[in-house]
Amino acid sequence: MTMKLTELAVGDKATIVDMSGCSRMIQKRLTQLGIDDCAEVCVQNKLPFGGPCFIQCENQCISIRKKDAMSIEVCQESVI
Amino acid sequence: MIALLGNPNTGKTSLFNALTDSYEYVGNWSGVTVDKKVGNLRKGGELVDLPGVYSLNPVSKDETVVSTFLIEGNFDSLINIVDASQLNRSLHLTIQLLEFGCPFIVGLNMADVAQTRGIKIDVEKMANFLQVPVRSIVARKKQGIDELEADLINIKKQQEHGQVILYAKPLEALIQKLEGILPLDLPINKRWAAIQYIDDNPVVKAEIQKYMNDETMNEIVNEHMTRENITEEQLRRLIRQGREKYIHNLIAEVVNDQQSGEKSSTEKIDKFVTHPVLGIPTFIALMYLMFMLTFNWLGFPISDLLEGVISGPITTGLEAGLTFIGASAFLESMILDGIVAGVGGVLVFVPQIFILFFFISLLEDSGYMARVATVMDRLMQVMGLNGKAFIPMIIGFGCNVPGVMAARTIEQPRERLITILLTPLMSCSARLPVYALFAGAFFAQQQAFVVLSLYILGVVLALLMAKLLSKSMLKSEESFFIMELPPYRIPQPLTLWRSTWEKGKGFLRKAGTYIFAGSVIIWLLTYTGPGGIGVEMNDSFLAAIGGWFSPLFAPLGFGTWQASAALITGFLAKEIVVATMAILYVVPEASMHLALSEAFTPIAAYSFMVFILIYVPCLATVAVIKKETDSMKLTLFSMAYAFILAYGLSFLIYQVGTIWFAG
Repeated sequence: MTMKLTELAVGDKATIVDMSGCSRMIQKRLTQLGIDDCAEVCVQNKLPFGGPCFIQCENQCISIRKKDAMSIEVCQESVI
Repeated sequence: MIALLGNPNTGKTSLFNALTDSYEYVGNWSGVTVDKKVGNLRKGGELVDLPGVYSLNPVSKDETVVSTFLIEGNFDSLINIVDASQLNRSLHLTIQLLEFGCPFIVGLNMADVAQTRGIKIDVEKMANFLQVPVRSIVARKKQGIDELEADLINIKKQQEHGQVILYAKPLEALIQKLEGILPLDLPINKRWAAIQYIDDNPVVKAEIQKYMNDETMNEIVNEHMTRENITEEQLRRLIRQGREKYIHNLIAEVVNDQQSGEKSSTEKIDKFVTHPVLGIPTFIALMYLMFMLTFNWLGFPISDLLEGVISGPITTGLEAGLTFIGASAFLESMILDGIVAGVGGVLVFVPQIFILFFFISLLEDSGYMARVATVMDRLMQVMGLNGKAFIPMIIGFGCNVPGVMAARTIEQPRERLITILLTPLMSCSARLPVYALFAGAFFAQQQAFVVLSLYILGVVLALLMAKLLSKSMLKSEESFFIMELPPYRIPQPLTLWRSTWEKGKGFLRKAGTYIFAGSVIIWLLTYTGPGGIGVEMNDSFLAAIGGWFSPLFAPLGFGTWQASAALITGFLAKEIVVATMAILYVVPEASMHLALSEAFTPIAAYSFMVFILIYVPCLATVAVIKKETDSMKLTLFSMAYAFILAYGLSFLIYQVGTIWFAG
């Protein structure tokens, strides 16, 4: 089941399914940082009042605005 | 010439320092290197430190610098610094360099960090795979630097011609087609240019357009896309996938990965400083601590001690010496009333300024700046700005010039422009002596509080102006924010000292040049007048010049010719205001504080400080604004709005304040 990145709780891990909803520039930067479809991300922190959220991916931490995080579709795999 | 290239936060600047033995600026937030920086290599030759980039396909302005530099080709070879603990990401840049086909070597940095994370890299295998020399280094500890230098000397002999990394079929066919029609005289690797063209690299597109009309290329791309039933986005993805595959193969062959999943101390600190509730209070508390240390607890006592030495032993010693050699009254007055009073008046504040610079360096090198930018982004967004604008502003507290330059890391042109225009509202260290002098004379009990209020006023005004400017200026592209949060690093004492010295040096140099010359000229203007030499100060040329302007400032509470004269000279550098005051109010055997309290009321003094804060950026800042905006109109605007704002606010403070305290 896919959901928005912002719907994840802090500490949740998920795999990116689609980020074509993001603006071109954000997409470009995210892919440069190695964050692309199929990448596994972990939400580390969410700031209040619609502030940025911190996501962790491949040993690095990145902050993006909520608006952009909302347009990233992720899929939470069920751990068996 | 050799250039240094790599991702942000990979220790590029540390390596630059290790290789050049120079006192350069080391930072730990994305894009501390805001300008092309050249140093002399220990073994001869020059080394250019380029801004950190993730790719040769630029997003922000400082990244454009790198691509342009490569295309212009005025270098012999490159050092590509690769973060061993972020191998996957770093290698995307390395691949683009392989394709570009210039001679380069790889410095595999932070091998120690990688090792603690359980990542072992076989350097020899990696060199074989890439067909490029690879050296394992730890730039911060200067390990492996000698070996890297040795490789640098050898590399000049071997010339590379660009490696071919094969991409998936539909993309590969298009690359070869484009490669075939690129003009022969295009001075860059054609395969590389074709790939970057498909990846929509604006710098490469512009370069190709210099040699040919790229409409034919566009047609070929479009035709290819329809025939292969593929979108532009898919083509770009194929480029990335091709590179990923290459990296994957490399990692499989050379890396022995046994990563441990333990929580790093970075995550623990971040829990606190980026806490949803505690984040902003933590930042304010840190700032408060910084100001208390700079002014009350540490800086003030040291400055006081220094003042005692300058006005005591140094002055009496010079006086005795001058009398002994039988100097004329003219010379004696010039040295004692001009140079000692003027330069000494500014030098007294050196300890406080160094303490402030020390803390700014500490903030920069620790990695905290990226967190501040993120925590502040929401607030800045409301004001029509970007969280990243906060970094130039904090740097602006030290000096506005690097602050204005640091705005380059802001990707969005409109936000960058507004940040440039507003950074001069940040109270720089040169304004600090003025506050320290006036706050010491009028508000001795609440010194730190009064000075802090001015800093906060600057920030608040900048935020309000940002709102105003972003509303009125053309709303162009959409704003965006994305920031890498580098792991925290404890700054090394040596790096910290160099960073502090690098900033403080400028202040000392100014004292020796601008302030020195300014002091002599100001003294001369007070010593001479329409009536001849050695006139009373009130009949001097300076009194006449200041007198013309003083009625303008009377409604603000400082309509004396002395204040006007100080403000005029203050355009050169704000600390000259203090030098001028020291010369003008020199009263033998009496403190300057006393002389000032006769000339200003406390409200007028506060109004004067506010005016100094805002009235006009100093000459050096105006020059850098002109350079960065490339617009005379905007430069003039930055001066005009500051003056109007300063006048209005000081008027309000003085008029309202006078009525308030009188009634």
